[in-house]
Amino acid sequence: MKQWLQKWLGRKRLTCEEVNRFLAAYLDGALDARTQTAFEAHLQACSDCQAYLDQYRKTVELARRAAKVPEPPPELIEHTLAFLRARLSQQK
Amino acid sequence: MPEFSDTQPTYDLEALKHGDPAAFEALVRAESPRLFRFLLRFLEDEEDARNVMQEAFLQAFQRIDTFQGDARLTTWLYGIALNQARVLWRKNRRYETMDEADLDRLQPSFSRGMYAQRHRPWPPDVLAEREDLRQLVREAIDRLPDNYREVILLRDIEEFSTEEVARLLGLSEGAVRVRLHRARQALRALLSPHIEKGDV
Repeated sequence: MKQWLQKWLGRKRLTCEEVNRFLAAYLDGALDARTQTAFEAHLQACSDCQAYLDQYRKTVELARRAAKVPEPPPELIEHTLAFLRARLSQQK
Repeated sequence: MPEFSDTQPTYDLEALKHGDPAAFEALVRAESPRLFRFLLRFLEDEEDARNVMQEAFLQAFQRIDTFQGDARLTTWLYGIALNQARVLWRKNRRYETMDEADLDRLQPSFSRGMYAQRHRPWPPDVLAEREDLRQLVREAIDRLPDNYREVILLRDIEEFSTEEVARLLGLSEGAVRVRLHRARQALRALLSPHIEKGDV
């Protein structure tokens, strides 16, 4: 068999459903090299998966932005230390 | 994505185990601000966050001998705080949460390996600072079942590594990714109608 044909036949091809299942691992950089290549090849050719990945990434970003909290009050550390000293001295 | 663990300081474990007050103080000074912000995000109440943090440090000091050194000290500390925060969150929660069946309905469906519904990219301005959208996202996160809410808070918001989240929750890394993926997909589905209609 010709080498290019062997390579083409041995290439891993993914469906949209499989690409979807790999999204978290893809964003973690945890896919093996062969799966990552197949994932990216599918993504390049599939506008639906590109759009879904865009929404998925923006969901993560929106969660991060929604959870902004104010800086802790300046007395936080001293109050915590005072609490701990008091509680630990009671136990001695 | 920056990893939480990249910025972790190292602590003198021997000094901590010998009850050295200076070592404890160094731990409190270094970890309080971040732990407090984590607990504030988790509990959504300053006083609760402060109380849980103080109790978590106290328990950590009292149980430092049980720390095995197989995890980062800070991961162990967050584990103690998380256990306490869970109890309080369940008691005080403001929203009715979804169950697994609700979550199943929020996952995308497929036909012959392809998405059953077409998707379009969300507009870039969806990431603009908008209080109405922030509120919508916060409520959506709070409606997730507790174990899904936790994984979003720890991985996507606190930016712990997947390995650290796995340690904290007693799961494999694969199981963390599966749970995180379901949670993100549920959130996406909850937000999508509002974003596509443009009513936020």
